[in-house]
Amino acid sequence: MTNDRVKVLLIEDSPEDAHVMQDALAAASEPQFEVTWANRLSLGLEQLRGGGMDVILTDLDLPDSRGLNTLAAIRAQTDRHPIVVLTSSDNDQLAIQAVQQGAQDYLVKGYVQVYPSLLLRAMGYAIERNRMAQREKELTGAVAAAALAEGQRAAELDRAYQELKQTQALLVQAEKMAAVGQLASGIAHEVKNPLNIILQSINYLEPELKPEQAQQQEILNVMREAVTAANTIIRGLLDFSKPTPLELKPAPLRGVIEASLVLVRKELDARGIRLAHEIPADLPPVLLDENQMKQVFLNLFLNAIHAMPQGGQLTVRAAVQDLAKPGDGVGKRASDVFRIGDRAVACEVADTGTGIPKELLPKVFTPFFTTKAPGEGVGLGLSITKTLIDGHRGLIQIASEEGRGTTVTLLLRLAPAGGR
Amino acid sequence: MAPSGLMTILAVDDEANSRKLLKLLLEREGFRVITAANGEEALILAKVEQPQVILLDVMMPKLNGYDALRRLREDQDTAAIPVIMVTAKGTEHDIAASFRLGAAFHIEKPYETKDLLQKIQVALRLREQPPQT
Ligand SMILES: Nc1ncnc2c1ncn2[C@@H]1O[C@H](COP(=O)(O)OP(=O)(O)OP(=O)(O)O)[C@@H](O)[C@H]1O
Ligand SMILES: [Mg+2]
Repeated sequence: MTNDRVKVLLIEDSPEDAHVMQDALAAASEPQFEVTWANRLSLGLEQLRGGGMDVILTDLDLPDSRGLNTLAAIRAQTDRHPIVVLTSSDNDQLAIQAVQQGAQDYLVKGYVQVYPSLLLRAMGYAIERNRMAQREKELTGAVAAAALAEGQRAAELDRAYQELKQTQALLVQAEKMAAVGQLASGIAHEVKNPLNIILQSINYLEPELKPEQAQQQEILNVMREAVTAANTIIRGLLDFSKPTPLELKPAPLRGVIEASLVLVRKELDARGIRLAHEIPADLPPVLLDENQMKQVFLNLFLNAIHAMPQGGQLTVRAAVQDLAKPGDGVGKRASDVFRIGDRAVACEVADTGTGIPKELLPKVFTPFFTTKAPGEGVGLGLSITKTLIDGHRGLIQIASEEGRGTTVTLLLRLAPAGGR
Repeated sequence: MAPSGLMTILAVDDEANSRKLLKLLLEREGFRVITAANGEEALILAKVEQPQVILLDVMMPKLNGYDALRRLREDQDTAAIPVIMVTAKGTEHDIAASFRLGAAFHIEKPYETKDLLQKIQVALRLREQPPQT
């Protein structure tokens, strides 16, 4: 999928606007876009009949069609393609109607000129949202078909149903993450205002100090640092609510793990937790974003440490694994992350701590699910971790036994062989 | 025009403490400062007082900053007054909206006062010599 070019049908009568869109799309490298331009609706529909398009980017007002009629005409021809609608003004009402009537997203043209990345992001979202909706539709269809063929097809029905449920669970999870993002940005704004009041107060007091008041100046400096630190956290929260670009590079897993271990060394020692570190030196490089993956391990280590207040053992293991048989996320289904026969690196983080009660296990990836006291945990560690691992097109699994301990297993992609 | 040639700044923010501080800080720099707590008040004050620069928060009750900015631009009496958006909002989207609606600058809270003062100076000059478009 990553190597495939995404084929965009651009329906836009203004050559200038078409240029802006083409330039913005040409700037993308992951994925790359291939644009076919039609300057009126009839030509666009013809292109569409010819096949081979992945996504449609269309102006609503064209020489041969206006407003929502344009959208209706395209939808009448295809319900499979994601559509992103372009509007020239900030006409919210029209945009909302467009989305209600089957467009995946809309963009104001003026924005695109200033921020081409908005277009790329909208295209990515539209494709993804459409993919999920299609998948659900197909599966619902599969359920119906299987129901018709009685008896021997019961097994297939069951499988399709399981998949449907899984896809729905994915959608629900995606929605929850969006909710978290909204909540986070709401809180962030509430906090940035008082932070600014503190910073303005510092700015007011500073010039009023006399040269001999060095201590007072020092205190103002400390306050300013605190404001900066708090703002950094807030910005991080805002960043979490928007997709961060992933920088996947072949890297040694061992180095990343060691960098995260350094950050928790003090806690390990303080609780007398032994560390068993079983990572072969010749482990082949893995495709990863080092910063994100450091955060992943940090989250997992902190959870393990919290689960072992009286000490215990933290084990980190990694090994190449041939995925020989189907399992969660491994197999032939489109939703599977790995194919049978793929080679991956399996990395385990295991503790001998309290474990997680069976009935709570399905909840641990839910944002804000926590069993910890306020101030000790907010319940975002594992949900963020899962988002990051999904971004790596990897898998995360958790197994636990109450009173014995917990093991988190990550399956990560090997860097392609022969790369430099 | 304000008495004795003082430059007048209209500071709009729904937070009373924000307004108080802006007044103190800007008056210390020799400006005359008037304040409004929401977009509606801002429109009236802008028309009557004809400030040289307007500082506009975005998230406010009644009329928010973006709507106020749009209305200021539509009214001939206030269309030429440079507006600086001063807001906790700072995404690409927010910044694009400020500029599209005709703000001279967008400043994200929290900010250092000297940044704001600098932008005010530039905005004042913009008013004297509007950029050719
Ligand atoms: N290694 C573990 N051992 C026992 N329980 C765990 C372990 N990892 C996670 N949990 C359980 O899952 C819950 C959610 O974990 P998660 O990391 O998402 O949030 P948190 O640790 O509570 O807070 P945060 O990570 O945001 O500080 C924890 O509160 C805990 O109940
Ligand atoms: Mg945690």
